Amino acid sequence: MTAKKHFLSRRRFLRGVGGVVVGLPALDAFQSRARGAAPPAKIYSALMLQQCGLVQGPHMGGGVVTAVVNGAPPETDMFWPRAMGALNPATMAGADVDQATSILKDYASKLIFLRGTSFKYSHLHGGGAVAASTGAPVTGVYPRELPVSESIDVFISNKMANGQEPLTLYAGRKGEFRDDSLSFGLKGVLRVGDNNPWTAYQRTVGLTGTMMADPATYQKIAAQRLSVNDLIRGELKELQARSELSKEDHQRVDLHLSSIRDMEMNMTNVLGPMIDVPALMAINGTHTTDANIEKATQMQIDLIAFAFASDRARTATLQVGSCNDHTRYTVNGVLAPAYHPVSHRNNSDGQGGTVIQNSVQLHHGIDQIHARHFKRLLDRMSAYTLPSGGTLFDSSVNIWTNSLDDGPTHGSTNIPYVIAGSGGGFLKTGQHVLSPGASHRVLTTVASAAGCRKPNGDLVDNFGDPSAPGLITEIVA
Amino acid sequence: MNALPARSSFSLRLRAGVVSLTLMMAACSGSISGGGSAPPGGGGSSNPGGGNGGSTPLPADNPTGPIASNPVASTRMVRLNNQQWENTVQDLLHLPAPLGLSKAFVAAPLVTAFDTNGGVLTVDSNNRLDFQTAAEAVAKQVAHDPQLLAMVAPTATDRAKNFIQTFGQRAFRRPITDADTTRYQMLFDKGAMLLASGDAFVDGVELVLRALLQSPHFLYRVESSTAVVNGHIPLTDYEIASRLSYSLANTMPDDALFTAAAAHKLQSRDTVVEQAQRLINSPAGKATVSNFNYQLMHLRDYDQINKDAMKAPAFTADIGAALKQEVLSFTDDVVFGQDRGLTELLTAPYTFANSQVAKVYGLTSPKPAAGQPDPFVKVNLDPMQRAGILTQAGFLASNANEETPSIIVRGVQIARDLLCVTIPPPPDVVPPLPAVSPTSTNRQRVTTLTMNAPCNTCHTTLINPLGFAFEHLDGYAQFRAQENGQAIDATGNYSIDGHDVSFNGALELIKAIAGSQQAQDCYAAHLIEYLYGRDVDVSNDADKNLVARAGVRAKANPSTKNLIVNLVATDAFLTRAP
Repeated sequence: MTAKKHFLSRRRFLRGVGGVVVGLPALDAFQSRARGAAPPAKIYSALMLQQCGLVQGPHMGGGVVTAVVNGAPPETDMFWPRAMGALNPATMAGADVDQATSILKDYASKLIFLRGTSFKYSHLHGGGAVAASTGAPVTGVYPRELPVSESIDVFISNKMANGQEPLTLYAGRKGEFRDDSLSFGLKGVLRVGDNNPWTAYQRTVGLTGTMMADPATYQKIAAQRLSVNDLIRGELKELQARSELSKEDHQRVDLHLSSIRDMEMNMTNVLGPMIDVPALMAINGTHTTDANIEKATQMQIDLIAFAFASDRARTATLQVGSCNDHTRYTVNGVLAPAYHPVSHRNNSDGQGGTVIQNSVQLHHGIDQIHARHFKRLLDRMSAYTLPSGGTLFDSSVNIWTNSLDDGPTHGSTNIPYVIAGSGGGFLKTGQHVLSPGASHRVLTTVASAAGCRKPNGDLVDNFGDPSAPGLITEIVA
Repeated sequence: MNALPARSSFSLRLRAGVVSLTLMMAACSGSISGGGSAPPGGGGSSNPGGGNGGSTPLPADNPTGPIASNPVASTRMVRLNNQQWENTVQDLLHLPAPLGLSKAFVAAPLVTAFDTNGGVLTVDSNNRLDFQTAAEAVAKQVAHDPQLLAMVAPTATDRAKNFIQTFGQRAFRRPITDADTTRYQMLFDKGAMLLASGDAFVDGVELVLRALLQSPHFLYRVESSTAVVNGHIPLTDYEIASRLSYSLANTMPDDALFTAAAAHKLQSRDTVVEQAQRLINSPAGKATVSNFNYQLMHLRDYDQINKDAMKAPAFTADIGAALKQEVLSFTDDVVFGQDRGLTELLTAPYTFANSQVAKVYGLTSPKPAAGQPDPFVKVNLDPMQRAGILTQAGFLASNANEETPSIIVRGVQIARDLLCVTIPPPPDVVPPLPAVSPTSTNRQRVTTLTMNAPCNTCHTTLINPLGFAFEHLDGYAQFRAQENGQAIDATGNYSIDGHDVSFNGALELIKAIAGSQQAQDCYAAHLIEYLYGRDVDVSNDADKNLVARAGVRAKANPSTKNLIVNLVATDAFLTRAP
């Protein structure tokens, strides 16, 4: 059984709001080149975060060599193509077929493999994800660091979608060490991701429990909610006017007010695969078990593509676990030890414990699982046709990154960024690039690919860390 | 759900559960001093908010009176957390059991040590939809159930207005204003048209219930007092009632509190103490203390205990729940059965076990027949091997990898949660693991791994010694004298109360911790954070002194209940900072 094809658009009026204002003279040739590759009106952007690092061998650019276990030989790179430069799908299907990223070979011409990125202000399990999505300075101490500014999903949505709510999702268990740490609102307010695909779907369509209702019933429900919302809005505005409230309390009221949106009544078609609603209902309640971790992640990915295709969100984040959440993946049909000890290569949450003999292969297998997840995102986005023509993937720029660079060192000097989609031609895809530098530069470049510009039309060059502005020019078309 | 960031990095430091009273100390570079001591003499004011002389100077403390303190700036809009929402709806509607609707809510973020810190919780589109969905379900259920409807809207003259005012007062936890009444009466009147069930009163009630349960005055505890008296802002009786109730019972005020508030009796500190004593001894109060201990001791981690059934058959797949109940039964007995506190929690040579837990300890306890209860009963443990909560099976097994203890994790948890030592994160790049002999002991391996810079800076003095002390107790919670043919070395030194303390084994270390002022200060700081629902910021003199004075009280009278009642009778709790 599949869901009905007709769904309700919450933000239809936003169509046409996107786009780029280009008016002022270019400051340099680079700016001109970028403007020449102005993106189409709407670029969708998803960020998927893997945890616990990768099996990627020696650090690039003269970095530290990955640690070894008990005198074992240095770990080799099992993640990237062996050659730098242009991505070759034939090689990815041939000599490099066992490398984790080769699972993405069908999209070789649309990918950028970016290596050598580092985290500047926060690291490890508490701060790695924060740095991956913000690149910003942080407040607080490990493992509860918070950025001082918003994450890339919120930044793009605010710039390009008039503040449309980003879709914030999570897959896996929570309540262990630190969980949500990927999406942040203005001034670094933490946004929490729903880890239940069923409730996430209900929230996304905006009509919990009534999404199957006929239009007349829906009109009636909407009118009831509108009356209640009017009253709540009035109470919040009264609170907003109170002078005794602190700045933080005013911020709290503002957030609450902005969450109350009138429900639009427009209907829209989604041209592509529907969400498997019965499957979502079936996983409800078991969505954090080891047996369901992959399935739940896939469902969240499907929801991202659906939300984009139905224009319910312009940006999305998906945090896959917290690393320290004791998740046990099934690798090649066998239930592996918990991911975090596997990443350390020993049975511990640190550097003690007995050695897990096949941990490198297990970690590589988990990298491949995440590669398949990312491929699923690209597949699903490719399956949707936009009303404006072309596929959803054609009008997107997406990131797969990690909170650590590798398992044994738990370092942050060689963070991977796999970028898929050119943002309507803004990015120069089909290449494998080494570009040492802080993570905010990657995010700034992706924000530009998503259409973000300064008020004067110049490229955005100061996301996350204004003290070190700039884009990664090697990947700009 | 969004969570607001704390106001300062100092408060964030505390939000991580780290309350070192020596914040100026460079991280991992020196000894840890205990809490300060309160100045002697003096006396507290008899009325909250009165006679305290403003935020400075802080009055001297009178050991027999309320803890002298000053309030610090805090949010005026504390949002109910998910559990509080559930409890409040149950009590508001006089339901015999919770509805369970909050299980579908987006989980609260882990940005504070305790889930009662409502000041960091907000309402965004995700949980607004949660609240809307739940409010609609509750409203429909109540309005269309004649028994429930009669409960919330009893027959009366001008029944609709009476419903709005009486039920609304309980929902908002304060008297309803005329403007409130008018606003909700207008909504009530729309019910018949918008819901059209054929019963205008039922429709009006349903629509008003929907709104009341989504109102910011329901979802937040809004504190509106502004008048400054002697340097503080006294809270209204209703605001005090809410603070007491949510802190001590995790729910809305009950009838006794509302009655006291209506009679203006909560301006008397004696009445506050009476109410606090009543609440803390109620079932809800006991559940609140259990919730505190659950979070302080990271009992949620016990769900992840997963041992090899061949090596440790006592650790069945569902052992986590039993080990959690062991701790909660034990803490309940210490706090309520014995009227004791931290010292007893750390040193008592007994525990509570059902047949599952007894098997872990190697005790004889026949498994009950299928369908028969398997109660937790008090059992004595070997006093030469075990003392208190740190030697119970859950702490030992959850902080271990199979049978091998996690020296570092055990050490970090004790340092942070029981001694409030500041421990920074490990360095960005962890040095390579050196080769070790398979005949090494766990201690030798960890020592080798952490002996060089930069690891040794923290591990040698702040982390490893605490973990080494527990090496006699393995990851299966079993006592062992040897490992790999070598005698266990559980000796060490640690700075406690600013003094270098030597110990040999867990019992000696525990005794030193239990007798220290530092641990009492730390325990008090955690309780303040939990009860006050806010960060504790010891860079602020007001909080620094409150923690120190509460710690002194705790050491002098080691009763958790007494400490809790003392803490909610302070000016810091009963007033606001201007």
